[in-house]
Amino acid sequence: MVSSDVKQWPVVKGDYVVGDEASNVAVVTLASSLESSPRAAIWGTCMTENLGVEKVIINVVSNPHIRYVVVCGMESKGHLPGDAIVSIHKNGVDERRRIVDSKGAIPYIENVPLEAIERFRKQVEIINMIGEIDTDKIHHTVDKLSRCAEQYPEEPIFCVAPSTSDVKIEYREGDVFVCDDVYIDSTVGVVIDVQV
Amino acid sequence: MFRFNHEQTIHNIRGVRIGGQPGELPTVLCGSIFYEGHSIVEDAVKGKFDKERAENLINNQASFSDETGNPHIIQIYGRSLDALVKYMEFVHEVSDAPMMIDSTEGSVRSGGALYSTEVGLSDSVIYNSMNVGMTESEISALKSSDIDTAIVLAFNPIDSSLKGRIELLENGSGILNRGLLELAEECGIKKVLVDTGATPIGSNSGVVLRLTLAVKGKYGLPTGSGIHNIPLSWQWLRERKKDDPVIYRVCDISTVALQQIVGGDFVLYGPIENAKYAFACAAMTDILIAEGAIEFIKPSSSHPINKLK
Repeated sequence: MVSSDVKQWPVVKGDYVVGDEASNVAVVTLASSLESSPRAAIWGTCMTENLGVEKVIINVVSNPHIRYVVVCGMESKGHLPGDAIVSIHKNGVDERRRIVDSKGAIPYIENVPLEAIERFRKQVEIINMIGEIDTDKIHHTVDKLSRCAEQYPEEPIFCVAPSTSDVKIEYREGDVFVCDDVYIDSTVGVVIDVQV
Repeated sequence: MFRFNHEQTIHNIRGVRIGGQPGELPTVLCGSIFYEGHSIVEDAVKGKFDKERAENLINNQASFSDETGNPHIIQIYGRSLDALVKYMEFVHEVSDAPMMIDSTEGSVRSGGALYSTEVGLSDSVIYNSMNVGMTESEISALKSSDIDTAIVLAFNPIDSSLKGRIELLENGSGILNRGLLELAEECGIKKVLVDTGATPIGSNSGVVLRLTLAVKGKYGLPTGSGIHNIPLSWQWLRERKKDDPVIYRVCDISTVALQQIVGGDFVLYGPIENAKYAFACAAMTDILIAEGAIEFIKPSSSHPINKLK
């Protein structure tokens, strides 16, 4: 969901460091922990092709200064989050929210609205350096790009994962509710599936 | 404590009994070896590793299993098929415990299933896992193998709520054209172990626990998870770990008890090096559960309540 209440950047927590928030560059080092550059807006790892990529998108579209996402470091085997970032930028997601043409194991995006995905695709250019772990080369790229573009000419998008605490479920019987048809009678300690 | 109204299935996997009512059987613990970054692995692609250290780790887990009564399974991670096969050969040579074959690559998992069929090891192997990301070629390979035991992973990437995970098991949740449980049956899986699919804090992490109750309540299937991945992915805790590793260990090992207390039958507790802590925690929790449920369940003779004083 898109929220106007959340104004802090970065929006979601993760394994990253924040540098110059006005920089044009975000760096995703995939499964490698690499020495960060203070000239990048944000610099961190991304291990998974679903939840990890969601965090990258949410933190990028909430900062219009970011115009480049440098994807570097070693891929997380099987998950292939680097491939997922490149693919979602190039192709977007299909109607089932699967990243089109991504080769990772489970490349689905649950918690990011389509509007934010489209914004990600328009706002930034991907600098594909997957496999590169030479920090001199990566820092050089950051230096080159950190102040070379105008900020994106639209307001930041602040999205937060939908909170399941907002979803209220009706429950009918039993004194401890588990889910739709499973209850616990806490007096005698029996878990009941009412359909059985 | 509590008991499930639904009849609870108990599988026998090469002598390891798994499932049942809370307090009935000891929790089965699965330690991971040859995982990404494991110091005993010298070449993760070729499968070169320190055999002496590997054997010691496996024997160590087996010793804690003998002492507490909690059965053990060896979870083998292979980055490549070559590596996975070498690991499987080795584990079979040094241990009688079931092995759970795991890889992030579907082709490696299915290759392991076909290898185990070829050499007659399939009754010792648990396939980890059947999940929403399986390709047709992986499904086809699994069908043609003799594997009959698998983890079914209830991780729904587009709806991580409890409802979404149940739908994934029952009807594919719009991602697959049938539920994972039906797919498992199609693939010849007779012994299903449901993994509730640990997700990070902030991403419906608690559902991993609630779903344990729901799956056992609705289907009676043996259920558990790799819940140690929750503290592993928690950034706040990782920061604290730098100052005091014990803080991390406390949270990490306590997840074993959390999974047990909601009726979990098995726990993938993470690195096999943690066996000492995981088995102690699991044995204590099993005893508490059994004593709490003593009015409606008789613990097995091998249960920690009957082994540890």
